[in-house]
Amino acid sequence: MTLPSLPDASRREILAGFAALTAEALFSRAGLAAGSPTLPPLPQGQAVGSEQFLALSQWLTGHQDLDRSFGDALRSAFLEVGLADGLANLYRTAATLPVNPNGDGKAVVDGLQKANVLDVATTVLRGWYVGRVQQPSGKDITVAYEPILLGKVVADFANLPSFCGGETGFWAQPPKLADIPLQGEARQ
Amino acid sequence: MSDFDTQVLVVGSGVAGGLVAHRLATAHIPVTILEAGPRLDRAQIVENFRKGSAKNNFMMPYPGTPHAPNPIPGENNYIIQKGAYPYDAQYIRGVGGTTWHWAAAAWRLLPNDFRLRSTYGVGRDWPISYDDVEPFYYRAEEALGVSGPDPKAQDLGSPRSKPYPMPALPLDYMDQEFLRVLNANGFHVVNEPVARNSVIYDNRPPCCGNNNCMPICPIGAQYSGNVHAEKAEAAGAKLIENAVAYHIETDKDGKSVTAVRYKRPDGSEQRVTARFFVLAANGIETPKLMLMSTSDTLSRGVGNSSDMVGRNLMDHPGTGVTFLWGKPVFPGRGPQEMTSVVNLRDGTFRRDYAAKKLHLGNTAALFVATESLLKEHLMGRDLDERIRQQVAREVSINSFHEQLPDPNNRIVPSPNERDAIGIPRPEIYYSIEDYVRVSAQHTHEAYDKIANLLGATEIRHNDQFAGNNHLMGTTIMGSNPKDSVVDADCRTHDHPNLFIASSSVFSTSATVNSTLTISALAIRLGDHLLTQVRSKT
Repeated sequence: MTLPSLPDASRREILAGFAALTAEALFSRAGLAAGSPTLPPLPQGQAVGSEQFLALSQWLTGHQDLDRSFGDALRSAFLEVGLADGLANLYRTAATLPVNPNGDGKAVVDGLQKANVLDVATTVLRGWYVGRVQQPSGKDITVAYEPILLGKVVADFANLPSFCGGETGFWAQPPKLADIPLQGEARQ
Repeated sequence: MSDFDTQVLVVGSGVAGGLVAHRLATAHIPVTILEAGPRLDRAQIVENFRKGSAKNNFMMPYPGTPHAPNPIPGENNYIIQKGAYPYDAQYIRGVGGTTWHWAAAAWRLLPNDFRLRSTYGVGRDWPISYDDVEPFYYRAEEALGVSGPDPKAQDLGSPRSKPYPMPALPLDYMDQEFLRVLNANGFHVVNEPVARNSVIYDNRPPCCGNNNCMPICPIGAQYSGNVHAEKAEAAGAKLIENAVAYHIETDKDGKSVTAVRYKRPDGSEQRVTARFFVLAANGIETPKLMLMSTSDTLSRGVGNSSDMVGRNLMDHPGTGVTFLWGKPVFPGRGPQEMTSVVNLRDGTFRRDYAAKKLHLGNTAALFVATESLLKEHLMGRDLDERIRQQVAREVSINSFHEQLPDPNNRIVPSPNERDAIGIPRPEIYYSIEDYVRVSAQHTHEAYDKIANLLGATEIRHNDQFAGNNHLMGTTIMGSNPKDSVVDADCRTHDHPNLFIASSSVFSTSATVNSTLTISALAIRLGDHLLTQVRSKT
């Protein structure tokens, strides 16, 4: 079976679709206004609980519809590897920054680095995006697979391996980038 | 009542053993299969994959057992490396064998692959020709369920008497582009024939693009060796799992094989007698078993008067390249492999350097790209955008280089190291010859040319040779008993009732995945054995 190649015009449409998707569809409903902190303060001596971890994660990722049970599992995994103080320090730092990662990622990175919590932030992001938490032995455990953010970010053009992508042969056509689950479900 | 426990004993329940056993069982011949490992459950393997962290380690979902370890490089180091170059073979010891994880590439060899010595003056010739095997290739394609291109539309270089049993799956957008651009610029790209359903076939569903052919097809659209092991059982064969063969007995003259001894996980020992024996335990475990089976009469082991058992180990040492395509092409949609570059599979250059096949991987760099971007401390929309851009463009091309049979590349049972039930582990002596190295330099240049045609950036070569788990040559086929182990019928020269079904009989490695040729030879052997058994009973 021979299928027509994609003409250059379609290529431009794809690229334009990318731009539109990433700039608008992915983030326009993120609920995080550029430049405004949204985390309520964490009282001194208080650990990062389930709600605070979810809020911190929403702030870090820009994704508002995070899976609560995945978040609880991640938080437990982080506590088991001794990150309780690290999470609290990260939260307090994040709550004081005048910007958020969706507004000015570089300023956030600089602020977190200055407070010496950038590695913890990356650890939390890694948990959400790829589902992995490194153990003291150096080996990773996988906390979850299906709900990882990586899968949601590319859901309009790649399925997570081992999950059915669609009817036989769906792959013969380029993906429809505008018609994506990210628009409806992943961002509020 | 028979003097034997069974008429035919098959050691190994992978695709080769399963096909032989199935052929005989459907003809009502009593068959027993010994399988070293356990039965495997597809749903559990999928779950292991999803829960595992090393997603690119195809052995990760197959942890193996203490009594029949799977070689997992970097984990259990079951195979002991003794050579100049590490040979990190992977295989699965369980009912169905290593075709639980493969990309299902179902290539035929080329006619010249069977006559390498007489055509190009290197390597060996097989004692059989392409024409001898062609009818069995088709039967293998029917048995496994192969989908492939219309022979009138695409010439794959291997003459066919019939079209493929199933039409080819449509190419994904990326492979369409790959084929279009390369074929307009001096390369020859074709659809890869695959043992993967494009329609419902043999009660298995068509592919739905799980993009997880390796390490496990979650829905069984892709053929795996358990299919014929189970069909053989349904036809009356007896399959004994967790039975590790460790010694082949012969009569006092060392001529006829009389029994195979095996161990259970608890270390207890049993034996099975038979009229005929088929060793189908892959290109490492089969020669290891033969070399372990020494006796007063056979000091070098069974079938080894030539001293060729375990020698001539060949694979398809591969190099690769990764780059960002000049535009988004969305790899990872559909099956993991769909096309190959085939114009380097044959030619007069084979006098000087190895032939090869190149193949574009259709996998998305999901985890690799994201882990890398996280290390750059990206977050928020920056992270999401970069993931999307990277995953939509990052692709890899890999290669299979033909390797010549070299007696110094060999597998032997370790004299010192043993597994949990006291059976010697395999030791491997392996090196990469100049025939391959020279070809790999040419492959590097071809990669650059392809990358340029595709407008690539961030080109990263991997010039280290990686094995592809095609374990060939270690019980090599030939017409001369002094320099080969089996004859044209896959019968050992030394023992009239001992046969081998495996890529270990390959006289040349050629450039393509070995499974379809293994299957064709296994079906051919099944026919031959059927005649033999009927003539004796």
